[in-house]
Amino acid sequence: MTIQIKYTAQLKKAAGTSEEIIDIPAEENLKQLLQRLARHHSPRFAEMLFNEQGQFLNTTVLVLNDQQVRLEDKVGLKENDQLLLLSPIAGG
Amino acid sequence: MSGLTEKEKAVYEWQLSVPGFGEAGQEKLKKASVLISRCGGLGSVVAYELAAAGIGTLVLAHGGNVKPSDLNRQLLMTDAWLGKSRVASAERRLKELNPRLEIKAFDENINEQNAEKIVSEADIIVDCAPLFEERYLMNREAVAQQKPMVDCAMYELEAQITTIVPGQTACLSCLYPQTPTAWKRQFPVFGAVSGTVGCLGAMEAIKLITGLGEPLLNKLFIMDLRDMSFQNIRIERKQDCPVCHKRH
Repeated sequence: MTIQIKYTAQLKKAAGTSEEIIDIPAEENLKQLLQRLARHHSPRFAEMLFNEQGQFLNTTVLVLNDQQVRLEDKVGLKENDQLLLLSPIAGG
Repeated sequence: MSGLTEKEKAVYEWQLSVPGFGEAGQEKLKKASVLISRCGGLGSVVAYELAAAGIGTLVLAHGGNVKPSDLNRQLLMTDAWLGKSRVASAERRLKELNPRLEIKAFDENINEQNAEKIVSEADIIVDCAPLFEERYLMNREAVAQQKPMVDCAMYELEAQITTIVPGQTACLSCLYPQTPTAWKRQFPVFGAVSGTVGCLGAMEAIKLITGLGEPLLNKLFIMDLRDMSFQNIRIERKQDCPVCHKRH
């Protein structure tokens, strides 16, 4: 199935793109998709998503079709979903 | 009987006619106090807009002296004030605009020792700080003291904002349960970006104080001025949030 991925801020910089469209197996879940993205992009990008033990870092806000989702909720994916990986930002 | 002076009615004439606001709204602003930390690119604009709108008291927390690299975005700092106190510069500029404004100025950033005291000085917090340590402290105190907090952030040409009301909405720790390790103190940004989200932050504070409109409750508004894309994201409280879950 086709999923549209968007990135913001530091994740956008680490990915080298603001968005991409990828095809994944129909049974792939959100965590598997994030692992796929980590493998596909730079080590810097991977470090921003997962720690050395492979645990997802709860510093990126995951947004599926305008709704925040959490990895522990075991959210499923469907054709043409839009996934936004929101990198944490602050003031100054 | 109106609690506004004739001078105040004259100054705020253009906003007094905003539907749903009126003299009652203006009086609420006059009685209200807002903490802004820090008064940099974001906080300068939040403070300036609230001062212009007639807020009664601003509590400002910002340490250090004005540097050349502040001047692309920190609109309350000036070239003539280089090397001198930032918060004193902010106070000076705000008083020029609105001499009726009361200011409580703290020449320090929010830290573990002062967070409870400084937050206690205001009805509402506007978080404009660059370090997550400061932001988490304000969030903790907002929840503990049950005060709303408008959370503003920016990066490059991007910005985001949400309004936190303890007991009703996700708090900052719900949004970012772990401290972001990738975040760096210095980052690319234009003053026009911080100014844009600063204006939104001031408007959120005005809405919270006066009941005007609908604040961004459980919504994270994000924007990318590079392609002018805007998005409202629905966010939720984290059921096991160590900061806000047990309290409310």
